[in-house]
Amino acid sequence: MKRRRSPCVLCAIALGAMAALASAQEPSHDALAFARAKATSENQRVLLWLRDPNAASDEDLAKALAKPAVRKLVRYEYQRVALPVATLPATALAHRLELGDLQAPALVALDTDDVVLGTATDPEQVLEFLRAHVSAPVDARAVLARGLETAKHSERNAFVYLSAPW
Amino acid sequence: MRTRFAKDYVVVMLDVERMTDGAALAEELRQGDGGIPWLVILDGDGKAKVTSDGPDGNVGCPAQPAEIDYFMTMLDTTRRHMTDDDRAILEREMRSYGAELTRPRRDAPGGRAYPLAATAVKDGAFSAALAHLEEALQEELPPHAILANPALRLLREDPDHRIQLQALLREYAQPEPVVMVDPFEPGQRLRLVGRVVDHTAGTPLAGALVHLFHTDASGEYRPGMDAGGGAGNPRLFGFVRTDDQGAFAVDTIYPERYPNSAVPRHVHYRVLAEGYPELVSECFFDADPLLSESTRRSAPERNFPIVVLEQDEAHRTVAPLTIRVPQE
Repeated sequence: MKRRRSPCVLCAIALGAMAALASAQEPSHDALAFARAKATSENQRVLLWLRDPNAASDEDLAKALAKPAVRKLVRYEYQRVALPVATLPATALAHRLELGDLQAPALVALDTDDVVLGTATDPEQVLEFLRAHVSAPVDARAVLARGLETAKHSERNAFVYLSAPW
Repeated sequence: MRTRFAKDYVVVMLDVERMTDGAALAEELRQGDGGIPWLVILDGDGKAKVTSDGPDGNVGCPAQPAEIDYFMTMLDTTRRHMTDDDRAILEREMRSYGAELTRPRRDAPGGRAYPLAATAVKDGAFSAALAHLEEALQEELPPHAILANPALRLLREDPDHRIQLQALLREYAQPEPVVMVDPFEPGQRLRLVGRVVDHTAGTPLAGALVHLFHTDASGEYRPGMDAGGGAGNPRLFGFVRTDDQGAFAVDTIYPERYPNSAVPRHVHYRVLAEGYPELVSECFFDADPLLSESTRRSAPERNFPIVVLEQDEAHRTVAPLTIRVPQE
């Protein structure tokens, strides 16, 4: 299969996301908002990675996330946001999400409404944790059927775009 | 542009790997194997009108001119509601975007390092981000782009790395307008239009380094530090060099007063001009009701300029500031 790594022109045209190009250099100031929006459009979860550079276990969690199987799962199913603790955004976010006594480094799986699905701190459990919180798959035929129905009722065509996570 | 496109098309995104039956449906639509991305325009009954399989192969991601030519024919054979103007705008945007996509990234100011810095910030790898930024500055990234970039905001928010960022921006300061805040920074926008001159002769001082800092819209230099605390490592800062006329410009916000304080709004600055001792001073704003008569009277003697805000032709609030640097 032919593969393109660049953001696609048609993604921009079809989704009204001309900012995608700029975002390659200038993602949103609010990384979580950006991830949430992307996760919504991609039927993914948000993976919040609370980092603590001063903790020895921070490196362990980083290594766990770097494992090929984990990386692939994250790429396919999550929008990842890393946030150093002891910063204002991290503190405010932890408060808003009611993370309570969660000790960084930690992973927090969120749905696109910012509902906390689960947390993990054990590097050995990362893959299992991530698998447990992926979103339910969407049926491609149902998506197409809905699109065709809308197209027919509005006397338009369906512009069908086949893509893949990679 | 999305609205124009939506006049004729309902966009259906199908992920062939993650959606249930995605691969099988893709095979049915393509009637065999094919590239990804791949496109087909269907009528409301699901009948294919045209696909992205052009004369030279799949143009699922049209970026090159010939690919965009074919894509436009796909639209021309299926559009009914889009006007010619809509089409022209769409084509123009696509060609512009396609040209940007296919442009060698090394040509971009800052090279590959600049987007890497943003990625590193997103990952919380601030030291790596600083290293990328230094490389980007060496690749002629305009320094003013850094503080204006919301993707780099977390770097500025982190006190330890902010100090390193300041050092970097100081080193690479240029005689070009500086942006001290990103678009998401709260506060009334303000352009400081400055001129650095010899205190006595009034002659312009070219190449002087001007370091400015002030409070944010909450009246704080650093979050949680009120009453002027945190001025040693302020969150909002900028470095700029004066041009041949001693002039400089800084886009920032109108500084707020310290919380629960009678100190009027002000902007701190330090100026290093060749042959002159460092000037450390601050300016106040004429319109600030907290600016006392005694401060007004003593301002010239203390070398504290009082700025009168103006509106420029673009309706921006402008603060003309003349900084006089004494020789002794």
